Amino acid sequence: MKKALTLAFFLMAGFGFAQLPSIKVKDIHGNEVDVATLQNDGKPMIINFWATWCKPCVLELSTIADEYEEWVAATGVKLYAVSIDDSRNTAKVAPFVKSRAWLYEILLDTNEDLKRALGVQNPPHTFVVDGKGSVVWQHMGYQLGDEKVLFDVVKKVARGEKVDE
Amino acid sequence: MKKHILTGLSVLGLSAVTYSQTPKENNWGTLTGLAGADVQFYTRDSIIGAPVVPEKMRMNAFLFLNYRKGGFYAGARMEFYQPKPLLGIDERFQGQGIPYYFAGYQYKGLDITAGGFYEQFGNGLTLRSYEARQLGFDNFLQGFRVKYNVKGIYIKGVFGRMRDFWTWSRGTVRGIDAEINFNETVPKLKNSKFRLRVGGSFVSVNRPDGEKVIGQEVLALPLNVGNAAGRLNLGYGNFSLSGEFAYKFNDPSTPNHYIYKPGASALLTATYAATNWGISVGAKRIDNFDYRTDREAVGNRLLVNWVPMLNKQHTYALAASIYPYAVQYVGEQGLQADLNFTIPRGSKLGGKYGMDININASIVYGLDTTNRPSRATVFGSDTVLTPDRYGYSAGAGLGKEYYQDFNIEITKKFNKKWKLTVMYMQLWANLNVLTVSTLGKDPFVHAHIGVADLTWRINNSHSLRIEAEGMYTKQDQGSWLMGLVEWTFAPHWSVSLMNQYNIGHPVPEKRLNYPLGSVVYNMGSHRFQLSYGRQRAGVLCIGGVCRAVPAANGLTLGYIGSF
Repeated sequence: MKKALTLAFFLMAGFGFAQLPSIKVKDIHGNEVDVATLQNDGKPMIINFWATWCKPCVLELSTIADEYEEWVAATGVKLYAVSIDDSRNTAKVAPFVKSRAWLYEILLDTNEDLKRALGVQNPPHTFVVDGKGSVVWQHMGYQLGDEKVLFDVVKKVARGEKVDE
Repeated sequence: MKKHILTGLSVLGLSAVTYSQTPKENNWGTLTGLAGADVQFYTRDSIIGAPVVPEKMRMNAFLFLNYRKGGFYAGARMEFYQPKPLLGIDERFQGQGIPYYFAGYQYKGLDITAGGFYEQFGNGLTLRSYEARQLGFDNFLQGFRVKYNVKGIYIKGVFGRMRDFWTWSRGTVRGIDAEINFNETVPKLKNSKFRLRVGGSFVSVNRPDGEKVIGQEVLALPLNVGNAAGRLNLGYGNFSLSGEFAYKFNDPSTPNHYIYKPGASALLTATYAATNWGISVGAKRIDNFDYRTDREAVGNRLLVNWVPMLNKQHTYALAASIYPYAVQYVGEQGLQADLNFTIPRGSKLGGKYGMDININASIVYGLDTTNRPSRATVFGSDTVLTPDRYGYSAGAGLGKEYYQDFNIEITKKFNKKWKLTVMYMQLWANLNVLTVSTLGKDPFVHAHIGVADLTWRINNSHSLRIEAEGMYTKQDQGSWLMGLVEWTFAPHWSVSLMNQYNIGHPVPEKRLNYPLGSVVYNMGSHRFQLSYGRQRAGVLCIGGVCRAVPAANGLTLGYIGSF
């Protein structure tokens, strides 16, 4: 046990965040999307894990929705909302999103492959990806006001500045 | 015990150290991780029915590492439950080790995994292996998986044994799944409004059980039990229709009382999603569909397949955890309708931000079954009745009512500062079927639930949330009240105080309060939580699987971090 921990510790010292992994998810119409190929013409992307039943997730996405057009105008950001709803609720995702007129790109991670690969435990969990496809920032949970912090990070990334916690 | 705590704490320390690393790129590949720990210190509280915990303290912790470089990937999860798993989690998890580890390689459309893996075929009627940590549910397969796709044709093959706490199931799972997405396969359909996907799967579980003796009977058990399913997803513009039908060969087991009747399941969902409104309507019928790697396993253990629930996944405390619905794998049928609409911005009722409305109704019945008559066999002067091992015949009609739920939820943002959600729900639950009650005198509970959830955004960093809930019922434990105040100081702190009060309990001494206070500290992708108080006995459901949560009183420390 101790050995495993020590090994893990030394391994970790050499690594950090990196490129989006080549994991396959589906778009809202069931077409496959390789996450490694997501791109936004060199502008930042937000990857947000959510679920229809998750109250803070819906609060976060609807709060951002009120300002999303301004965010896009200022930074060119694109938000991918990755639903981890299981097959009980996947059919409800499209009516849920469209009725709220959210402008996000919706992805379905029904088998939770992307969730596991990015180390997500509970939604909401938000990642910011820079123009080169590298994950540069992440945040777990949502409290009112967190979207200001997120937007500040996106603005920095859009300007090519370094992001720290 | 001290050693256990130290090991657990080093998991936390490890993550904290990792946290201080600045994100960087190098040629070593990518390592991501997730670590978490929950420690509970229990206080005696016999009046709420909290079990006595002689250890006083229990802990669940894990560390999951995921490595990738190019097409190669590998990972492992260490788990730790000491001196015993938290109250409510199956005690057979006690111990520590690395149950889940895997390595694989992706090359173009090919993906090969060896070791542990999670997989789902279609809706899960033939196979679904997944993890729900809060429930203590984990049924990953240990073996091999091959996935291949070319031009919209997807093929998956799996072979392995299933996780059974710290060992593997005796039964082996073999499965194959194929799907064609015509919109990807046929170039003409690439951007068509018309969408079509067709798929099928076949799973076989091999269990070398031989015979089973029940009284005078000797039952020959099938060595392999197959489960086959076909599915279809059809769409046109805003409309879509999906369905799956599955057939399971005879599979005598403890959950179905050793009958040889084959199983069948059907799911059908239609949705329409337009701007400002969307609707989804679903139907299902499940008949004798409990499917496991061990025919004697019960509860949430060793399930190979998964049947989606057909009602709303509630999250408000009184609606979600007192009388939740749990899927009856042995047989049920139901309907659900879910309507979302938004009163547009700028309209009189919608105001500046619009108003979201969700209306949901669901109803679940048992099957209309008739048991086959038993056969009488004469042994000398004795007559022995042997049940017909086909079991029962199921008609097209309705059996007993299991569950019904009607609810409406309205969310309105008044301005930048105030937001209100109100919910009303009415439910009927058959406790004889759901067995979630502690009293259970009256099999049927009819309850009305009201919720008001008000958010006041004081300024950019401070906000206050007040939640008031009430449940009115004359049956079972009677009515409940619940109140919550949560103060958030973004981006780091959140403090909340909650109380649940069983105001209508038929026994006046049991009209108890369940206060619980919590402090949460959030830092990027790390979250620390401390809570103290009483936890009401109830049912926790995640993704359609439920477990009973026992009453508890004490202090809980939690950490979760991702890096």
